Amino acid sequence: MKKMIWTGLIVLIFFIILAIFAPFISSYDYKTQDISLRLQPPSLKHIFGTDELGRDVFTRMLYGARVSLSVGLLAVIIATFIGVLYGAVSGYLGGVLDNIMMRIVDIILTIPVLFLILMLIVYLGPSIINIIIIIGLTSWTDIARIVRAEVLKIKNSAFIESAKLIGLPKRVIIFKYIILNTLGPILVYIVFGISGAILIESGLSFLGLGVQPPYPSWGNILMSGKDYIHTAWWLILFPGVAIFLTVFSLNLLGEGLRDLFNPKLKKE
Amino acid sequence: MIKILQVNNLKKYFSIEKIFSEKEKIVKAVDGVSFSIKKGQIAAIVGESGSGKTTLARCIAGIEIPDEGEIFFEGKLLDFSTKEKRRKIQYIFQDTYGSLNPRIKTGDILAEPIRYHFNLSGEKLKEKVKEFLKKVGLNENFIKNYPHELSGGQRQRIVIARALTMEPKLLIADEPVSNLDVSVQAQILQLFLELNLKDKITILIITHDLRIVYNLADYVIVMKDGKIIESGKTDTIFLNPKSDYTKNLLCSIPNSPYKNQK
Amino acid sequence: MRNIIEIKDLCVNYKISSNEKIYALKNINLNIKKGETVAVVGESGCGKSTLAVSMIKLLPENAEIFGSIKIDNEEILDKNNQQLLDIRGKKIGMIFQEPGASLNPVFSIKEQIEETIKIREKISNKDVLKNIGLNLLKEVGIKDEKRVYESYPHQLSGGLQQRVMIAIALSLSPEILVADEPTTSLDVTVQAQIIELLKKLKIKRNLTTILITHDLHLALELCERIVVIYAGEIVEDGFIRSAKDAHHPYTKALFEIIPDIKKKIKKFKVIKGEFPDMKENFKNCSFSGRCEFSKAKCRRYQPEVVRVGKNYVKCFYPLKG
Repeated sequence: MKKMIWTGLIVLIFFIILAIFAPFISSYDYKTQDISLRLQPPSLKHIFGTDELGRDVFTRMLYGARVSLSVGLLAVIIATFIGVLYGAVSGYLGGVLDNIMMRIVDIILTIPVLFLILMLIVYLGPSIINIIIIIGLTSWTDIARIVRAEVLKIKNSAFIESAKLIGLPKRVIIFKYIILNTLGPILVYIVFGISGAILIESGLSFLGLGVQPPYPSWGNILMSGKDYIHTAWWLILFPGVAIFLTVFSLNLLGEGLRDLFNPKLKKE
Repeated sequence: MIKILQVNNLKKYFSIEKIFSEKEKIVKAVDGVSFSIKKGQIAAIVGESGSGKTTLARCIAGIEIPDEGEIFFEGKLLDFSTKEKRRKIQYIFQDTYGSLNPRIKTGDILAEPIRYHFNLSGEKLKEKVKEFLKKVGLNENFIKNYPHELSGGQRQRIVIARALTMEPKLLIADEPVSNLDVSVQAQILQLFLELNLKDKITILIITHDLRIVYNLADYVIVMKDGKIIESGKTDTIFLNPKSDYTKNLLCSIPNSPYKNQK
Repeated sequence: MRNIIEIKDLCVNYKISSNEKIYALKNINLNIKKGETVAVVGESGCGKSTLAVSMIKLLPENAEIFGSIKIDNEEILDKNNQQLLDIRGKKIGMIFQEPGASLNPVFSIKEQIEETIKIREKISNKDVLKNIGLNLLKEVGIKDEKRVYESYPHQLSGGLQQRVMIAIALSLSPEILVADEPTTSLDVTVQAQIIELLKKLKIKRNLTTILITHDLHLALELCERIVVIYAGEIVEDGFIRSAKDAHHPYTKALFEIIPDIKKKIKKFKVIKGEFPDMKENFKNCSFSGRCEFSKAKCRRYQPEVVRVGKNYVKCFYPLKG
């Protein structure tokens, strides 16, 4: 369990450092084209080779990491904010309101998310901000349901009853008693949510509906590479591996955190 | 002596819905119960599982709202709609682990109610927390522990200390020692005796263990199926039980001296 | 009479991490004669349940086990799983604390009783099986055995469930019955009935009965011989009826902390302190920290087992009684 968390964390921190210090790590610029150098295989000068416009793939990967990671993180923050609020209100207040709110969630869940995203992007235009907002707005339902279930469970627990008996104010009960005890599952969702959002962004970029050139993202590097798959393997391999490693380590981290927050496993 | 608590014809029914059947099953958890407890007494409600003893206690503490009947506390009729205002009646849950917020340290568990109840902060608040810890026989090192780091007996003490911060007149304890080992049980029971003697707190204890009742309680209420079978002074009930049910209970105690009299 | 169980220098440790162990049982020596009724009394975490499952070598994977357990002169600890099957159920029947959790909720009582007999006794005739099953239920005092036989576990009360568990434990006619806290989750009146039943069965089947319990009075109700365990060690073993017969301070304290119903005193005798940490391997007397009679020697060395009257006591200064 601890191994999973540490492995996931180390890989992620490595990618985050690369993304933050991109300008210091690479001396190239991500958008300077040089047709004379197009489709160079990996060499000491261009360790991941160059793309069809002669740009350094390694540099584009570094800047792409910035886009992919921040899209994942920001989209999930939006989703978590809406989801936690929605789920907590629904679970805490209960009754008819809870019923109505949860039926709305059920209706939203009947809409195929990917088609909804595609439609919205076509309608609003594919900018990074739009992608973040759209992914955020379409993926809050899961966390709303998780938070509602947790709140329901905690609301009926003996320690909430005890807190009421000793006359603690409502805000203390809500923040210190309810929200504090749902933090575990929320954190786990955030981790899994980021990996999901990164995959959606890569998918959109691959379809040409995500981050638009000249801005790089792992998805659109992959897309530009698909036409040269027989001659320039490096355009496919490196972004593919980067997406795989990021998503895999996020899932490891999430899996590990879920075990860590499971009080039953903890007590043993 | 003055009555601290008077319960008149209290009723609480629960309905159980079943998925595959139309019929609703009604469980009469408390079915027309009347009794009173005198100030300064230790009273015990005795019964087997399903007798309604816990539901009755929860109604008095204000955790459940009864369907019918009235409860007088210190002569005043309790209003069931203001259930959070019943500070002078405190209730100790059977599941001590579940009744403590797992993410708050014991020091804060006690500090919170003191802060709102006594309006204290800073050093004075810390002093008060220590005072309550001392009262339940714990030293001040315990303020840094989380509930899961404590033993069962220590957790029970913290729960009692938290209830005491409200300066209750009536303390209701639901099976306070049933999850504890015998050697720790006696410590907690002795604590109840001391609270009754020194702090003059009236105590209502809910238990199935008649050995404890005999040595702890002044007054006993025997319940079965939501009704009171028999009630009276402890000595009267133990030496001269009237109902067959009580007699049966007494004979069922392991290694019971009553068995030979049968 | 011959010894049916001979336990010699039994030690059981549970590994919980690379450098931490729980020392659940330490140097247990215990002989039990055929037909004897013995109670193993101790607080939770003292190792009494470990002792029960050691006898059928049903320990979790992180357990280390040393010493010797002989049942009918056969060494249990050397046996492989296939050979152990002949011991489990056929030699030793077991019942546990939570009858509801030991029964499989999706099978009827009929299926659960018959399955064991079918596989182990290789009987396949349906009428014979049903006959055996119904007779078992009658034997454990179930009056409407036909209804119970067709029922599912959740339709039965806790007391009936425990009776069914006893019936299953007896289905392969074991010589030894080990009951691990058989009545802890039951009401007092039901508890009394189950104890009555165990008394009857012990005589009728000439069972060697081992009752594992935390309740000293329950032990006195059923058994003549009492084995007191504290922190993984047998501190006293003998014929104890009251505090007067107790020669170990812990046994005496156990009697005194349980409220009396003969004499009302309105005071509870308290054993100071808490149960010791079982992750420690004691070099001294494990009870010395809480004992009201302890002296410097007790806190430094480990006492040997000595004979006092009819009892064996692990104490430097056994009480005279």
